[in-house]
Amino acid sequence: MRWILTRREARVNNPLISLQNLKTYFFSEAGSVRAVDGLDFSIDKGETVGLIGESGCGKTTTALSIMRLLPPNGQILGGKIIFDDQDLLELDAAAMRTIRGSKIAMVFQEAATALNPVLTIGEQIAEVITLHQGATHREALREAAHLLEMVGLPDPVRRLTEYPHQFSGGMRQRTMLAMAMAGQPSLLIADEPVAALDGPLQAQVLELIDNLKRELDMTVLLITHNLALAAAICERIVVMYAGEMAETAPVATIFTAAAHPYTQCLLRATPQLKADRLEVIGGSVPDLVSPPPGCRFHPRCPWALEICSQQSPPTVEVSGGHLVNCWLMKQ
Amino acid sequence: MHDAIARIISSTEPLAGVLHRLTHNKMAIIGVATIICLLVVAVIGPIVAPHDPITQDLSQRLLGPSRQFPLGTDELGRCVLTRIIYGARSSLLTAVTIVAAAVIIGLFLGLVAGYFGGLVDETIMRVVDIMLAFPGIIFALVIVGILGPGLLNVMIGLVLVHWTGYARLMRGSVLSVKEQTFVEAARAIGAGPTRIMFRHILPNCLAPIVVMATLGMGHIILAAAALSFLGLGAQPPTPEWGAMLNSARTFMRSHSYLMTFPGLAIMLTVLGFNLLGDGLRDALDPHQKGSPRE
Repeated sequence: MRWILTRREARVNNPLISLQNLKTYFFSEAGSVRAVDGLDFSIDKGETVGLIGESGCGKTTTALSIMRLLPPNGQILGGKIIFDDQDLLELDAAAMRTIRGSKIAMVFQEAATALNPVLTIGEQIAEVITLHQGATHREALREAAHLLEMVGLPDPVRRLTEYPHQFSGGMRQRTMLAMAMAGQPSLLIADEPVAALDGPLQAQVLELIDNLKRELDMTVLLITHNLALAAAICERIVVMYAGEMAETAPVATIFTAAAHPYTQCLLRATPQLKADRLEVIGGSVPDLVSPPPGCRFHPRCPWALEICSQQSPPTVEVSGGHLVNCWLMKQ
Repeated sequence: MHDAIARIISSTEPLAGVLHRLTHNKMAIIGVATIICLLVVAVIGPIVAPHDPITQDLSQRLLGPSRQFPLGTDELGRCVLTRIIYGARSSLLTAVTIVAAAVIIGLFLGLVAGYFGGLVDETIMRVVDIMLAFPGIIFALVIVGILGPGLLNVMIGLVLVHWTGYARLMRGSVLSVKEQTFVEAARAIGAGPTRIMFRHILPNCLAPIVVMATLGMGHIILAAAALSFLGLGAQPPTPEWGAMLNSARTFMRSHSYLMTFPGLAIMLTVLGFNLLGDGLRDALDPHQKGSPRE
C-alpha cells in the first residue's frame, strides 16, 4: 500500500505532458468552430490515459494539436502544451519535426490509408529510423525487421520487401505500430487504433499496445469513443464533451462512481447483455460554432440546474485524481 | 479528367496487374511492337542502311523504288530508305529529349504549385493559363522564329509549349494525394516538406504522367516534323522526316513516293505511341473499362 502511495505521488509530480487551457479553433465560412475550448489535463510518465468522447467532441483535434499537425484552417489560439518541460506551441517548425516521430509518435485510425501505397513496408519503417537516428539505410532496414518481429509479424525479413496492399488490416495496424516504435518515442498517441478492425483483432492490437508500452517504457494516450476498449488497457480516463473536459478519474472509478452526468449517460448508452433496450443520450452534440452558454452539456443533462445554463461549471476534486466539471458537485 | 486522375491514383495495385492488362490489350501490343521496331531501326540504323544519307549522286536522281533503292531516290540522288532510317534516329532522340525536359519542368512546377498552394500556386498556374491560351504549334513557331531556325531551337520552343500540360496534370494529382492520410502520417514521423513532396507525394502521382508522356511522344514527333516541314527545324542536308516532306513537296505530283514514305514513317510512329498511351491509360485505370456492355 505504501508502495502504491509513493508511486502515485511520484507520478503526480511528474507529468510527461500537460495541456493547459488549450484552445484550438477551426475557421470556416459558418464561423469559428471551437473544437477544443479550454482543455486541461496531463498525463504522467508511464501512464496509459484514455481520451473518451462522442464523434466531433475534439478528441482527434486534441491529438493533432499536440502533434501540431492541424489542417490549414485549424489554429491553436491559446494555452500551453508542456512536454518534457518545454512548451510545444513555442517551438519552430524544424524543432517540432525532430519531436514528431522520435519523442511523440502517432498511430492513425485507418492503417489502410496511413501507409504509402508505393513504398515497401521496410522503406517506410526504415525512414523513421534514418530520419531520427542518422542510421544508414542497411542498418535501418535491419532494425525495421526487428520492429516487425516485435509487433508479432511472422517472417519479418520477407515482409520488408512487401507493399501495404499485400497486408491484411491487422498486419497494417501492426506495421503502423512498428513505425511508431521505430523512433523510440516516450509518448504514443493512438487515435482510434482499432476502430477499423474486427473484434478479436481489436483485443490483440490493444494487448500489443499495452505490451509495447511496458517493454519500451512509454506513455500512451489512447483516443477512442468506446469506453470498454479504453477500460481494457487504460489506467485513467479523460471524458471529453464538446471540446471541454467533463471528468477525469482512474478507470475503476469511472465505472463504479462516475460523477459527471455525461459520463453516467455514456455508461448507460453502452450495450449490455442484460438490458432490454439500449439507452440513448437525448439531443445531439452541440454546434461548436455557437455552443450553449454555461455548461455545454446542460441542454441534454437530465439534472440540469438553473445555474448550468448561465455559468461555466467549476472543477471539483471529488476524490484523489477524480476531477469533475459540474455544478452538481458543488452542492 | 479529375475523376480519371483520382481513379488512376487510387489504383495502387501491383505492377503485375497493370502489365497483365497491358499485355492482354491487342492494340497496346501493336503499339509496343511498332515502337520496338522503330527503336531497333534507330539504334542499328547506320549498320543496316544501304547507302549514305547525305552523299549526293545526281546521276541517280528521282528514281522510283527498285532493288538498289527500295524506296527510290530523292531529287539529289540520295536513297530515301536510308534517309528515313537515319531520320528515325533524330526524330526519336528529339522527341524523347523534348518530352523528358517538359515532364521534368512540368512535374516540378506542378508539384510545388499543388503542395504549397496559395500565391505560389496562383503564379505558376496563371503562367500555365497564359501559355495554354495560345495554340501550341503557333506559339512554338513564334519562339523558333525569334530564336532562329535549327533543331535545338525547335526543341526549346516545343519544351516551352509542352510543359504546361504536365504541370496542370501534376498539380491536380498532388492536390488529391496530399490530402491522403499517409501524407499526414509522414508529417507525424517528422518528415519535412521536401521529403514529403519528393518521396511521398511524387511517386503516387506518376501513373497519369506516364500515360500523358507516352501520348505526348506522338504529339511531339508530329509537331517537330511540322516545324521542320516549315523549314524551321532540322536544316538540309540532315535527314529528318519533316524536312524530307518539305523538299519532296515540289515533286508531289510527279514523284509521289517521295512524300508517301516519310509521311508513312511519321504516321506509324505517332500511331505506335498513341496506341501504347491508350493501352497504358486503360491498364492503369481498370474502372474506366466498365462500359455498359461488360
